Amino acid sequence: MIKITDLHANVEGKEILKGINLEVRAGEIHAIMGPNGSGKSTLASVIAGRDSFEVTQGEIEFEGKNLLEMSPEDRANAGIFLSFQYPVEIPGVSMTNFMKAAVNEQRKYKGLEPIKPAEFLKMLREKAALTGMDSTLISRPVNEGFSGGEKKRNEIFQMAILDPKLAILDETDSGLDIDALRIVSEGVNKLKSPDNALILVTHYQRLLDYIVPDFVHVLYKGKIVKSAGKELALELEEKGYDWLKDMDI
Amino acid sequence: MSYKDIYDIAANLSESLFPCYINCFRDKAFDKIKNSGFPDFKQEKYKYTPLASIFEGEYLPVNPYEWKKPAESDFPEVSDAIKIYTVNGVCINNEIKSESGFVYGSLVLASRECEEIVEKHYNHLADNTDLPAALNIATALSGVFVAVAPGVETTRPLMIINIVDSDSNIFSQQHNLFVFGENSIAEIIECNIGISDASTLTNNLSEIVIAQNAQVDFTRVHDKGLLSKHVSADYIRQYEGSSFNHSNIIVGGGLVRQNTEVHLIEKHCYSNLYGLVIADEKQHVDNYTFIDHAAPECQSNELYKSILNDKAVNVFNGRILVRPDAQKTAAYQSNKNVLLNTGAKIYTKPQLEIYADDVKCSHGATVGQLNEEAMFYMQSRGISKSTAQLLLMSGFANEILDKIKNPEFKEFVLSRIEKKIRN
Repeated sequence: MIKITDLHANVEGKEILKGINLEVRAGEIHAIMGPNGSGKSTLASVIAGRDSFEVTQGEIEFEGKNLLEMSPEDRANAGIFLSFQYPVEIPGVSMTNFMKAAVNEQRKYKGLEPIKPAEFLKMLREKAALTGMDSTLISRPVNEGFSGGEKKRNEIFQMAILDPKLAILDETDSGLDIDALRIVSEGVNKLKSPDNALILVTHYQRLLDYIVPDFVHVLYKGKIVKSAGKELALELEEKGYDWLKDMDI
Repeated sequence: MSYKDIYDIAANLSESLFPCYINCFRDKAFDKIKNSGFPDFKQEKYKYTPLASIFEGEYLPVNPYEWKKPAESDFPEVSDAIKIYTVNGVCINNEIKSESGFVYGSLVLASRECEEIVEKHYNHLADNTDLPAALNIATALSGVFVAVAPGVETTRPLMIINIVDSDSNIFSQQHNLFVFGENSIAEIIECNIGISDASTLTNNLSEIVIAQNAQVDFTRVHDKGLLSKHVSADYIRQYEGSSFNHSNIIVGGGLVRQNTEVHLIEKHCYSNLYGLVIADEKQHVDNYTFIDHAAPECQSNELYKSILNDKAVNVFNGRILVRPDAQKTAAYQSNKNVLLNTGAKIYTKPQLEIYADDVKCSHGATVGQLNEEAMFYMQSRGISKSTAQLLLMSGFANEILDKIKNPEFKEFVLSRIEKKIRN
């Protein structure tokens, strides 16, 4: 589905990603772990197309397309979804209008007519129920006054509506208590299918108790230094990241 | 013709149009102009919008007996509103009507048919030392009169549609008078439209009297062509327990200068002033507001917002005066601006003068760009850059647009703003 080859990226002239190689196939769940500042969020942002990051070398191929040549909105409409570590508040824009604009742009991209209001409202209700999103939040401005847990749940709610092929969850577990983590994880698991794929960017192992990855990668100083099965996460939990410092990178 | 010629014409025509209790103000007002001239940049109040160069230009006077019917497609549709049309300042229906609680019509007729009320209030609120106002008092020959009797709750909005329609550089003026009786309730919508590409000048003045416990909602929209120049002043006087909402939305117009003065002269008045400016190209917009807290225990809230593109210039000068007797005043002011590029300019100036010691007052101003994080957030959901910008701008404007009570008129304003933003 997505193939990242020798990806280098800079932010404000400083190289953060120093040659990432990663391939994710349909149906797979990959976890990317690593200490603070290793480049995990940068990788997520580069895939989604944030323009403050400059790709200096390498390629990202998504379903045969050159992703790096696409605008963020085209990437989204092609099936990429980024769940933000810090979801953005947008005063004055209601969740309903925000999601209606997103759904209709996606439909336009697929050559479909705009969604009918009744159908749209039905979809909002269904997806809110599926992801445990409080339906009173839907009429409110985007993320404004939402609690930390509500914001993260809102990300998964949007993911449910847009039904992406590849979802990247950037530190979705941060700021969540155990109950909220369980609800958000249940939502994600319900959305998982053999046709889509997930990249979980996380610091801690605990999210992986709820969403079980097929592969775990350790990112350190802008490179993937170790890849293995889900048992690697447990090992990291036990040993921490200090052992990385002894490696010659 | 210069404004001096226009004064001569007014002096000739005014006697046949208005009674002497109105005409008696003209000479003194004109003397003021002769003595001090129009304000240039040296006068603080007009620093960024010197009016001298505008008023000292050459214009054609409007014949107060003549009007031509404009094309109706340009009008906003508010189906349940009572409508008053003026073309180049002149009321096109020369009659006084009584409908749904309103008494309304041409000021020329009202000055005779409703003499008692017009004589009591005409030129009792306007600031005769302000030069554009003085010119209006000296030379205006037409206007709109609206009154609501004490205790009357009007059932429909009253909509005034002012149209400037001329192929030449005409100079049009209106002197409007609004009188809302005790305990009355009313909603007024004023729409200023231009169907002219000429370099027209408009100098309107409104006096608005709000008696004890009356509740008045006043929404005004400016949407004229890029060559038009529009100067307008509202003088509002509020009596005990009254409440007033003033929403002032400026979308079009080459130059728009709006003075809004609210005098809270008895206790427990409540006043909200909202403003929205959407300007681009070389538009120049200047809002001057003055809230005079002259009585205790009144509250005023002021929120002005703008979105500026291209080389547009916006000025906000918000003066609040809390007089020594106005204890327990609450006065809040906020001015928020979004600049879409480096060519646009905003001059913002709060001006608080507080002479009472037990008051709550605040003011603040912000200038920023569209939030880049929010832009990326929306784009990452598949929303195109232009739609994301539109959503953000509408979101910013909504805080003001939500104050528009009438849903159809709100829809009309939204469509004009959306059209403007999309271009």
